[in-house]
Amino acid sequence: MSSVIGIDLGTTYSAVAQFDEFGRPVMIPDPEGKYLLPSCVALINDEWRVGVDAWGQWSADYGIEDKSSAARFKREMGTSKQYPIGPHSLNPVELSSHVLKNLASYAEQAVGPLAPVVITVPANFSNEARQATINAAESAGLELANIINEPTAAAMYYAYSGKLSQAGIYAVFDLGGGTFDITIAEFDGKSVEVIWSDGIARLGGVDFDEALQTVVKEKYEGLTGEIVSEEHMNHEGFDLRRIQDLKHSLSRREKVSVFVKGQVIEVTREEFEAKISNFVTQVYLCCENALEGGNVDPHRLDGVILAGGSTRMPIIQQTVQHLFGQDPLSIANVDEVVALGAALYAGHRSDTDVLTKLQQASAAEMSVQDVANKHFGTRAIDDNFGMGERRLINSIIIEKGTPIPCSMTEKYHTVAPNQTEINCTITECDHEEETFDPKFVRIIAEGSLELPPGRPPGQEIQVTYKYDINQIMHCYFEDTDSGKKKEITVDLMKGGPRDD
Amino acid sequence: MPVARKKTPLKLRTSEITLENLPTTLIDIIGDLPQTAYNKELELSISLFDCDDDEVHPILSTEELFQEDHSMVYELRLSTDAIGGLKKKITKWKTIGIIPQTVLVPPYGGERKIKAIVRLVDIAYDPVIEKGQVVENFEGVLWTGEIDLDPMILDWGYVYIEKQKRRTQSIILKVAMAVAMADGSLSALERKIIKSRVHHWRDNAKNRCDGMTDQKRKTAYQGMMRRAVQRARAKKLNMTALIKSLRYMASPHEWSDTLDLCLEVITCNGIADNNQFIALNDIAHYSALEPTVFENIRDYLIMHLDITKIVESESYEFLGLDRNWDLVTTRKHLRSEYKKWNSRLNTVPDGKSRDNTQAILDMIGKAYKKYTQPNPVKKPVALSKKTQPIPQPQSESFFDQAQLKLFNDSE
Repeated sequence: MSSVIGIDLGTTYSAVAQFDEFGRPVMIPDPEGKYLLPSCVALINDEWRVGVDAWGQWSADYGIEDKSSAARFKREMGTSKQYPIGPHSLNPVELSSHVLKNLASYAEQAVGPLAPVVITVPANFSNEARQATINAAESAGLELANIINEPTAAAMYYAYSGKLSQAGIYAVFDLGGGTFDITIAEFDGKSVEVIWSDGIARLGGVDFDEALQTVVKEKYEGLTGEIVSEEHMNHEGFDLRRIQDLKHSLSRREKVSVFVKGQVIEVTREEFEAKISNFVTQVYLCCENALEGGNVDPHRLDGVILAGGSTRMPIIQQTVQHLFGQDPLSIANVDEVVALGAALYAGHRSDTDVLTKLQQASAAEMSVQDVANKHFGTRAIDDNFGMGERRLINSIIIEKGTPIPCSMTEKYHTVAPNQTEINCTITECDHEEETFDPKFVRIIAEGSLELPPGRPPGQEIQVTYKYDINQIMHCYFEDTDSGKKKEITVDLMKGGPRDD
Repeated sequence: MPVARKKTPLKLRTSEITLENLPTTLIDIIGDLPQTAYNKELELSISLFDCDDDEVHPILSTEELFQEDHSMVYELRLSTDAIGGLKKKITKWKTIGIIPQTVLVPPYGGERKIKAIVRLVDIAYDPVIEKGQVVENFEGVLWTGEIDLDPMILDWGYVYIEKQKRRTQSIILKVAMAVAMADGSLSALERKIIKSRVHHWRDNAKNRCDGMTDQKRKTAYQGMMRRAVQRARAKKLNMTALIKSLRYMASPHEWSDTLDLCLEVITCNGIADNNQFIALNDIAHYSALEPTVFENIRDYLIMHLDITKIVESESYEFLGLDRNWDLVTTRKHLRSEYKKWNSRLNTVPDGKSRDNTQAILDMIGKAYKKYTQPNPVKKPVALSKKTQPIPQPQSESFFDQAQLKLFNDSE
């Protein structure tokens, strides 16, 4: 029987967990016994390396032109960015594929052949980035069962663990290496119902590292009067591996000292926190907006649970305390909860014939209801705009935050006499855009519906979107009078029309 | 020998009716068609003229249905089929024209003497009619008749309206000049853009029949441009006063013209300047246009300009904040802006748009921290006179209290 696994493909670290034969989520260690694999890829002695060795190489490469390594590429998923590594040039999909291959390889060694896997993505990941993740899995030779939002996976683990003292509404505060996500969800036993999800695509530990690096550099320059250029940032005490250690120390101590070129540089937590205050404010803003979006009073929250290594920072814990009026719950390893949740979700979504009886029993206990993480609509004409003026609008049919599965219908009408065709456009946007501006509204599928000729304008067209739990949205455009109908099916996991 | 019937020439008459509660003049016709019109495909053309003084002025129409092909001058063209066909002899009065008085604009206001010219035309030689006069294919006109319309009292007149329009345009020009000068100088490119808009206005005025000769019009617009440049250079343009004047004079179309020109000026060098945003905010404040219009403009600028040059201390106006807002409103606005741009980060294309979106998020974060502190630092404002410190919060939500506490702790 093949093994069910979930993968947390992170910006700085990745991890893999198994839904074991007893139906429990357990971390799978690498051959060196470590659970966290640095998400770094390097070409060392003409051999592709992933993990700790590559991380060391990347640290040495920092600031120099001819690199032989790459890291933090998750942030560029879905973009056209290229990473030169030695004579090669790799895109984020290829780099992520190396990481996934490595994780799958040691997972397979540890637990045997793999069933289709679940991979986590940030809740606020764009469609392009989600699609890029799917491509990376395919490129790594993995069969993908599904992708799941990171905070939803963390929520599943917390629900499963039974460590929450009571049923109720909780906030999942997920601050990882590269992204921040906040999810408000209702927990009841092992059931999770997501109420609202929001996030910041580019905010996480790597930004804090760079801020701390700047603090050290500025203090060194202030002390010595020497200007440190970008290319000297790698070896001379500023390298990001050391900086990351320094950051971890600052989570435990008020001040730390670091040796840079024979100089002792003292950095206080206060100095570091002042440097990252803008990031903290943005986390604050995002949480407030999520609470507003989910229409949840922070006083109504039964608890705040954490995910992601950056939540260990005192300033972040204070922020949570200030924002939600309560201390976050420290009941699990924040580095592992996403991978463990992904393994649970993989078990939950697996066919029963690949599960043992114990796994089936465990999977049956769990349930998860997610929400639409975007607004879905159609392009329409607003003919009530001023005196006879018309403008293109984005008419939203399924609002962000609507629990899925769901079905929504809106009515429209034809605008021209003898109109024999209508454009059926399916749009998505993250913000409730009213005007159709292609910069902010994306068309994810389109088609046309032919109409009978010779009719006056004002013929009713009913548009229905049905969004199911498999991330498939069936869109129907129906001419009420003639009964003619056009169906377009969208695969929302890929963010485009379904291939068939 | 059979006796030939004496032909009755075509005659016209007018009558007044009320159509959909609006006073309307009808033109009727009776008599024999000229022989030259037999077996031809015919059309009727009705043009109107103001004959109050010695000169004949065309009448303008506000409705496209009653306009010449290439101008706003009134013309009603009807195929004879549209009026049930014309036989060789029209024995009963037949209505051939309808003139809704509300669409007519005479050259000058008050009671006017208006004459209608009716032409029976052969569409095989379709005569070209411009400003009520036949200028080509004269042979296509088979018959012409004229009739005086009863005096009509109409508001304003298009010559007067044009004069008013030039006054408004002169203010729009000064507003654009003030926006251009907000960064301290009038660049050659900014001047070129403004000048090109003046030329555009001049050409449009010509098409609208402003009652001026080409030379007079040219002189008028040149003078308008010269005066605006002089006042700008002498730093005598008061944005607030200009916008207040526009508020009483400008139509929605002219407001749109103003904003469009200002946007062209602001974006021409690709770099956002905060003083230009202060000017834009002044327009937003006094224009009484919907806030969404300005939100869309700001969004457009964020997408099209290099906003990284806007330094932290200058971001107040750029973020659409109003200095008269209290702390709670300021926070609410910034939260909403953050939500919008953070959501859009996933949709905007790679490159400049995405970099700008990221930059605006950082800017909002800084502003949220800075402008929502209990005692914000006052910032000098170049053009605006409504500089006031943000009042202390009147009521605070839990978030606001928590935020204040956080700021106090971390600062």
